[in-house]
Amino acid sequence: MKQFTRHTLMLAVISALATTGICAENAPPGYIDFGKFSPPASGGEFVEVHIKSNLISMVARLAEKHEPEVAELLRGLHLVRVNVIGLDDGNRAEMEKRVKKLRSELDAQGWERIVTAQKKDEDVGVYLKTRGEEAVEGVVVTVIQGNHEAVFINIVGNIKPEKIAVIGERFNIEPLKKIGQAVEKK
Amino acid sequence: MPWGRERWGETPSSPDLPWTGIRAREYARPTRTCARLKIGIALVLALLCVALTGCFRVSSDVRVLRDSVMNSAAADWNEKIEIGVGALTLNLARAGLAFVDLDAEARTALQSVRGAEVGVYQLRHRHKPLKHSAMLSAADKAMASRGWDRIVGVMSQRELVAIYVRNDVRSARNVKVCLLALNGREMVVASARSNLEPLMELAFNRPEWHPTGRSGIHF
Repeated sequence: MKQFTRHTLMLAVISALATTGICAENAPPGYIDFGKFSPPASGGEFVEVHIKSNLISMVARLAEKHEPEVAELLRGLHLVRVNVIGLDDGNRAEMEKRVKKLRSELDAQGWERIVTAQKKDEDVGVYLKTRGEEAVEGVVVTVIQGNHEAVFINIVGNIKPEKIAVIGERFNIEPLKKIGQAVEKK
Repeated sequence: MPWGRERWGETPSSPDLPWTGIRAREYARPTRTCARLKIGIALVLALLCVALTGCFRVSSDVRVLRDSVMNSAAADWNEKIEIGVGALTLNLARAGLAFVDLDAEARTALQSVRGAEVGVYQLRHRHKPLKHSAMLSAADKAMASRGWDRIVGVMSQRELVAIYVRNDVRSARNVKVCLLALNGREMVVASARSNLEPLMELAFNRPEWHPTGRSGIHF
């Protein structure tokens, strides 16, 4: 009986480890784990948006009739994650360090930095993970806005590059226009 | 039936009486069945009413969300209002509003709702500042164990907002959303079940959706 219990436990542990391995392996190429963020101690702004594929495909179905182009773009998305963290004296250095670390990780993993905008107190970086010329598998946007906030965006999916610019134009979203133009130039 | 083992109401001298008794019991049986059936129907109707009207109480999901936040805050809360309405109540309301001159968009929005619950609570005493991140973590944990994903979380010094959707949501025709909003000393926990199709139709037809009526997003 003891042996049976031991075997069952071992089997459970092995299955759990295997599942974890599979999950880690199954993370789509455009997915980046930003880690966990904590709200600023001073009580500043803290926003988290995490939209998974089931909700995205539902919205895509809803948009199909009126906005077929938007629906097509949405159908290719697997995940949208946005984190906005207000900056204060307690977390500014940590956030800057995190952005720096993330950017070097993206460089090391073969992501392309396609937009770099550094004004006096603003630092924007846009990275793309592409699959040849046919699709964008992931977009990462990092923004440090002086003393105001840090923004982390990760869009994961199978996105046709030409659609990004179309959506940017269609909805007048400047960052998407820039990304679309940058992808088209490549 | 042998002598000396007669039941109540039977006379040993009458040979026909045992048959009369059996017949009487047979007549009596449907009456008992009828009574049971009536009780059963009443119970089913009562349960149906509770399910359809919402019985003006909040569902277990909203209760879990409320309790997780209240327990993690470790503070005393006063219930200001707690109400839930189900499909039957909403249909009655819609039927009543059919005679009222209502804006078409408002009517569409009302028709898309299939159930709604809301609870409003207030902190009872002056309390040291609430730990919003702990409250949000507790709410996330409680809701995740019931199959809910948080899609939006917003925190600031005074406010906390979290929106949850079922992680098995597939159809836009029946989407349930839970909301937690905390503003200073006041907390609102709400949930709504709705058909999103007419609402999206409404949104797409609004001028703000079209490029001419839309302001740009820049950074």
